[in-house]
Amino acid sequence: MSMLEVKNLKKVYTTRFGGNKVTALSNVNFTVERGEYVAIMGESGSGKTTLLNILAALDKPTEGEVILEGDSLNKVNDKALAAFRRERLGFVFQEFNLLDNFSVRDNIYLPLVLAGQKHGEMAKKIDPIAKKLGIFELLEKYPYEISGGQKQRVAVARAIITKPDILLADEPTGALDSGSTDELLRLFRSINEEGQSILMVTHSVKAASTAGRVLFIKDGVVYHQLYRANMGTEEFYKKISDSLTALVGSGEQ
Amino acid sequence: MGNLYTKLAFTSIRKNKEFYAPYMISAAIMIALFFIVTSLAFDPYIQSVHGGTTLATLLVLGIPVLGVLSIFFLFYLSSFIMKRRKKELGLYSILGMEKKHIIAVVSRENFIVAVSSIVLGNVLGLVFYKVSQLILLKIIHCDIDLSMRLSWPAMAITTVLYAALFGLIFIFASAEIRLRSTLGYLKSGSVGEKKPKANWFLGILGILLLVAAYFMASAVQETVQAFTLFFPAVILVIIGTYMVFVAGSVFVLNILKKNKDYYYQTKHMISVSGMLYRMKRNGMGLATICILSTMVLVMMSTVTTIILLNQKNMDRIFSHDFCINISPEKHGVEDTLDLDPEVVREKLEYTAGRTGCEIENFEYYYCLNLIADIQGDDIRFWRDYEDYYQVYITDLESYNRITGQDVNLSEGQIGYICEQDPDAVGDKLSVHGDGPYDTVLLPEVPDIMIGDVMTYSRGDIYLVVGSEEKLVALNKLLTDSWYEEFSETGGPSYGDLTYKFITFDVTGDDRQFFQDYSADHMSALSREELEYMNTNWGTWEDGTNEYIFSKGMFTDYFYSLYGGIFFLGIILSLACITIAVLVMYFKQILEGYEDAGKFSIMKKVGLTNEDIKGTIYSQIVMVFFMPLLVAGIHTAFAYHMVKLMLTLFAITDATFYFVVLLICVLVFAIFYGLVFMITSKNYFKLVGNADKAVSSY
Repeated sequence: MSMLEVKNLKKVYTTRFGGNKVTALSNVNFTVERGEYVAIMGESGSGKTTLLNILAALDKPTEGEVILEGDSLNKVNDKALAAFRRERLGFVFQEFNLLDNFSVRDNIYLPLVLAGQKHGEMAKKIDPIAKKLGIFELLEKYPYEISGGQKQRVAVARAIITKPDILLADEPTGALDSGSTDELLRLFRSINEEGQSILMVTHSVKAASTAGRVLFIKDGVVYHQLYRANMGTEEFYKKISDSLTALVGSGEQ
Repeated sequence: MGNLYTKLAFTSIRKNKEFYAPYMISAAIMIALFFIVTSLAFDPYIQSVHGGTTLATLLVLGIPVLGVLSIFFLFYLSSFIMKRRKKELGLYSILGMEKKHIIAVVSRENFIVAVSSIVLGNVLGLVFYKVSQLILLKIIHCDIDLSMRLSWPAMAITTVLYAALFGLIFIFASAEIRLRSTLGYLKSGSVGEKKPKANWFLGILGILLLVAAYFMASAVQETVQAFTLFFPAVILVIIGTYMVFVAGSVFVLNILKKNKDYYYQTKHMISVSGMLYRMKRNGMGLATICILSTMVLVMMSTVTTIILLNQKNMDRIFSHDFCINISPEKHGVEDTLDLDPEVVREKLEYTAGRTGCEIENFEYYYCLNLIADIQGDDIRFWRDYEDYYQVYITDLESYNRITGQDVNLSEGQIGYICEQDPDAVGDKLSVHGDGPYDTVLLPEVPDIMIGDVMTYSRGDIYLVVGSEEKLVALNKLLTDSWYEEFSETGGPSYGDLTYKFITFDVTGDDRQFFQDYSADHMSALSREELEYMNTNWGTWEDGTNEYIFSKGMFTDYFYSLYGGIFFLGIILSLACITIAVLVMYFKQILEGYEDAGKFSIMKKVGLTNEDIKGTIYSQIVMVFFMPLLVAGIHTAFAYHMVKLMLTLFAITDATFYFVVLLICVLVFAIFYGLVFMITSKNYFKLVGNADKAVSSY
């Protein structure tokens, strides 16, 4: 059984007065295996953010379902959803989404505190992760005192401290300079190598080229997919790039 | 080009209407209050009524107070709004507008705000001017004036002053634009928070200042002392409140935060850090709300007590409509005993016949009166600041005549009665060493006059001695002791036997009777002069001096004086409330914007909607009602001091003041809660939108 199964996912938005219907996802199917690192690529408006929101249980599909480790997200009721999100999913966002009124340490603790863990347990967990992500020295600082790359690493620490089934990343490099981007992508690979499943939405070829598999989404359907297999990053980069060109080309016909 | 600026100015005011609308409305309210007070102060009708000049003088005092409040308030509002708009102004600058162009836009905005507030203010002022004039006339018990009059000078003064104030605000705003760089504007929105500093020094200093002020307020023992210490105490409270709100609260919250087992629990973590954030941002605003609330509470309760107790005080001071004192030319006690009150009665009857009144309850008596305290069984001149009594001593014959009773006192007995404090006198009593006498409880309080206006005594003690001779002997004893002790330094009020008192009521128009009696037997004064003095005097052919006091005119005078104070107190309270409401409103909007972002993040991290709403709601409720709570504490400590100060206004009923204060606190708390409910709607609208934004992301 796959860890994450996405079956016949469809999402139709109705405008406020019920007039126009916009189909964001028409029929999306794919699976993610345990320990996989998958990137989803697509242009703006292709439906990738909608997809991620449904995966994150922040939004409900019109049709179809998402199954995580055998549990259908559709069946989790609203009350349990917050806990579900907290315990089984980790999030990294483009705009970091750190709380300015918490120190870095408290931002990372937040999901554990919400889960009702004791301070002692939390303190044990944070040190190795902070050291690994290179933010150990920043723990007592506040988000507005550190750089974008550092903020994003704090966000990663917050996402993985709960040991989630899957880490969902939405354009994680979107707001970073190239140095920080490289560093973050290296981190993603290394935590993936330690067994963390990752699903990343991006339109950066560079970011996608660090993944093990790339799904291309267009007009609400998964249009194409690429496996890295034994390719090196550069080779994979070229292949993704070619596929994108082909994708754009096909769209113009 | 100029047209474009005007258009831009209109657009930006419309776009920022959640700030500009309350700004203009509250500015208009301040302008209207100013207009009302100014036009009442110069209202010819008000000046023509009894006590009108006193009233006008009082109202004039309110003008600078309202002016200064307006200056602070409008500067606060405009700088708040400009701060919120920095990003927008930065954008103008990026789009290629030079500073002078931005200033051109801002000048037009300011012009629009100024013109609309001043026009609206004047219109509101005109509408409510007539209403408040009628209310004021009602308060001071005068005939109402139905004519409509427009006070041009008041309108001119108001318009010119506020136009100048808005001009000044513009000058400051444009100076700030000149000084700041484009980048500075763009960044200022995202500079973010300063680290929560635990300035324990300021926090502790603030608490110390408050304790000092509370101690001052509780330790004062007499009226004069209360007056001298009141303003220092107020200043200490203001500074202390600011320090405690800004630094003290952060200090306490940081201590909570350091306790890791406490802090790292969902509810505590979110509320402690949220409170920390809010207090740091809003400490100043909250302290301002707190101080304004305290001012409103103290002002309202005081002026209401003064006006409501006026009649009661007048009744206590005067037992009858009129009081006449006659004293012989030589001012000796022996000669006073020979004075014949029937001479006065004849004169009164003469005037009464002319005016069409009747003289009733004609009484005459001798009376010693003093402010005293009781040490052991001895009545002595007042030395202690706290427990003192107003003591009246008369003779048995006078007592029986006035009350119609038939009391007998044997040698060695003294009659007494004290309604307010029946246990004040025991079985034995001596008067300044004379005695002791056996005390006999009198059946009834005699209707004799004159209490001292400025007393805050525990009660009125009436003593009755066996004979006039005894009274004369006591008079000598007391007069000698008074001179011995106090002739150099001045001392407690003491009235000796050199006057004979005559009291009576008249049916019909007692004020007209007063004027006619003056014309018949004394110097003929105009109605206005009599109203101003509420007393008159004359000399008989044999050299006897006669003074007449009119309770009616005395009461009128105090109604216009206290009515003016009451009216001014209400107007100033309204101004303070306006300011406080605006500060609350802006605080809510500001927090709404800030919390909207946090709300959506917390949701993404895994908090349920209910959790977030619950914790945030309890936080804003706590933060919001803290100023009210502290204002309540301030008011409680001010109670004793204000009570003492009220003695200047002859308030003798502490319970009454307490009840009024309690009602004021209750009414204000309800009002505060309503304002909270209304302004917090904006907050939840902002936060709620963020919520929707997340789910339809």
